[in-house]
Amino acid sequence: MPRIACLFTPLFPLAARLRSEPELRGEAVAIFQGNSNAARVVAAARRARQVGIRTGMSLPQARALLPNLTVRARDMSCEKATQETLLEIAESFSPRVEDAGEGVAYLELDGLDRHFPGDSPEQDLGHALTVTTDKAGLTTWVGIASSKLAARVAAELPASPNLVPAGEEANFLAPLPLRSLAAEVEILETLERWGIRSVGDFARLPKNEVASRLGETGRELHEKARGLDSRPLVPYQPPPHFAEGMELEWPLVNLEPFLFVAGAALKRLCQRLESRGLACARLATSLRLEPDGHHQRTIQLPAPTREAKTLLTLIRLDLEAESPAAPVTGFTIVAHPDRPREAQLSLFGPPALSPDKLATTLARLFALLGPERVGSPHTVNGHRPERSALVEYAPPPPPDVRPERQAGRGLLAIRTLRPPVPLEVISHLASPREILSIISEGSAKRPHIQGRVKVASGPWAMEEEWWSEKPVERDYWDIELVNGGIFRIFYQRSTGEWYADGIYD
Amino acid sequence: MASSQALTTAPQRAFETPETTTSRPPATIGTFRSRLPHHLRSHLNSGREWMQQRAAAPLPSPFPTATALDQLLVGGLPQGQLIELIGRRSSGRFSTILSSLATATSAGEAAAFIDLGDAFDPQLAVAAGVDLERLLWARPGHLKQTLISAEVLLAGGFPLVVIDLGNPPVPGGRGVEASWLRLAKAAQSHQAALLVSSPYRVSGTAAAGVVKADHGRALWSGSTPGPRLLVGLSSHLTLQKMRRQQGNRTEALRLQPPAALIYGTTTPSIGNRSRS
Repeated sequence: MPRIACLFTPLFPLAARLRSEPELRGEAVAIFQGNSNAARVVAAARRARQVGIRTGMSLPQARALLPNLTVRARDMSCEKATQETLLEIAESFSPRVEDAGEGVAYLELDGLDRHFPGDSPEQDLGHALTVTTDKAGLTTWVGIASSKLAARVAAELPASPNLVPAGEEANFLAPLPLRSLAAEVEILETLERWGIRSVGDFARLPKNEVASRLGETGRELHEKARGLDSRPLVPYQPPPHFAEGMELEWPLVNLEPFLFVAGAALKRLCQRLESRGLACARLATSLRLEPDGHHQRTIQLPAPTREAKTLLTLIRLDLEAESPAAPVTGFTIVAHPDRPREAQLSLFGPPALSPDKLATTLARLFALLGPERVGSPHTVNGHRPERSALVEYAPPPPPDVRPERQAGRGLLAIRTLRPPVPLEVISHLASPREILSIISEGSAKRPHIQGRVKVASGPWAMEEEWWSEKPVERDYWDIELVNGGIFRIFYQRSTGEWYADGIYD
Repeated sequence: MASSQALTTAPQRAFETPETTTSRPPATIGTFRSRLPHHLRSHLNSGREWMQQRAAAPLPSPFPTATALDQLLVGGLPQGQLIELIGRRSSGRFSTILSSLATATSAGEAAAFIDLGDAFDPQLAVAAGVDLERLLWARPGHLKQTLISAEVLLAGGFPLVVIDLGNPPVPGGRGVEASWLRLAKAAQSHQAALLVSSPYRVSGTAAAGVVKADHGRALWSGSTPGPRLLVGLSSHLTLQKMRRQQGNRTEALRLQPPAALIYGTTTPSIGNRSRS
């Protein structure tokens, strides 16, 4: 029989809420479900329980016992994210995990004892599970046994972790009432009619007789009562993305308060990504609006990152650019994961950029400047000097050995003017003699070019796309002005206009 | 009580007594130091000792640029410092920064170029020897974005960050000196070389070094009225200021146009330029 550990989160609705709002820890908090007077308490914190607030009480009853009780509605998006976190933690220990819902997860422990070489590997494993869930903001109890039922019952006992020795499951379960088997009501009623009161009583019945009277369901139930599990764990299929969300206590109309709660959710999201060795490649934000409707945005990141601050900046800039049309009552942030970029460091070559840092840097620059203004320059076929292209910045790994630096080529560079500056040119014998940049709307921000020409060299014909309807036909001149400056200017044959498109610098 | 008196009078005595002119620490500091626990003594220094240690500290290894800048800056751009290169149009300023980028990227280093004037020509950069795959090209719209981008890139671990503010008018003006100081501090903390190319001084006291590119002189072949051809540009780089170095040194800068500009050659970098 494989050994099975059960992770059990007591008061799961409350635990999920406290994970999202850790500042409520230690407060008298109650989680309720339902509306107005029909609202019922589903979980209460210790300080609330101390004054008599119990599960099932109506909200007015609870408030009557403790007027300053902090109440929160049950938040299914919080609980879903918390359950996923619990399963991710279980998966980080064992590849065989079953999702039992509502703060319960099972994991198979076969082969894990070699990772805990102490005197009591299972005890150490149980402690490790408790510590890991604590770090994720969850209080979890652990039970270890050879069957799911025994592990679950052990997990619900105080003083976690609780171990049931192999083969002792039947004895461990024997004193429990029949309802612990979570069987169908009809079977339970039948067993009560037979005078069976406890799991032990049921386990002592002959299995063939039980099977012949209660059928396949009864046989399985009888095996459970004897501490046996005939069915293996149902494998947990993790979702392809990571989600965190929250129902807000009241609708938010300002960006800053929203960013405050979204920042905490992003932090949790990034922790989950980090625990799986993943990073966020695409971020989808869904805001629930009052009274209904959604505002959905998706941000494609230039490179996978798991820095919460950068992701929050991107959300802020995105929401500033396109704000929701109504107050926000809740949100869900979904991170689509991808493998972060990896790099092999070199001992003798130039240092490589850290992939994590590079991803963060690119994301910040994208947020600041826009994706069309950041990247790696790329050459473009053609003849027009102003042509250029940007591609994704993904530098190749540096060479293994640092090459010797080459001497500069002493190249005279040209500062390209984008777009070209329109000019008024006075010519003599088809050669420019004096130039002046044309003043127009917006030209105050462009370089002002004016002066008599000292030397002019040209014209140099340039033709491109002669086959198209609008071919580019230019006559280029290199000119030096008397008052300084060497420019590249051209005459556009199709329009008869002059432009400066470069400065030798 | 005696020790507290020594403490309160120490700064005054340190400046009044003749010991301050010698290399030995003042007696008051020595007295106070002797009363400290052993493990704390090495942490207590007088201001003068701190200055001496700072002066004796080795200079950070320079970042070679294979240009005339290397001669002026004793080996290249100092890592962890802001160097400002100023010059009017056609002074060779843009060629110098392009050469710096070419040297860095061709040696396998990553480099970032913040191009406020949107003046970068990838085709020309390839001709200059720039490895475009290793170059990050950012094109901000104004000076504030430029400064923030530079800070982000320095924090991102780029060993060389080059800012070109283009030609006047610079969008955003000179900026606030505190921003430049912050940028210089970022370069220092990340030990990156930071080169700022500007038509006029912008970074104030933040710049560890200032190099001025003099007005360039065009070199033409042929003579009027015959055909003329631009064959180069001659200029000078002058070191105006450099911390812990002697200023006012000059190096000649001689630049040649790319092969595509020479009459009769044809490459796609500038276009098929044939004499009409």
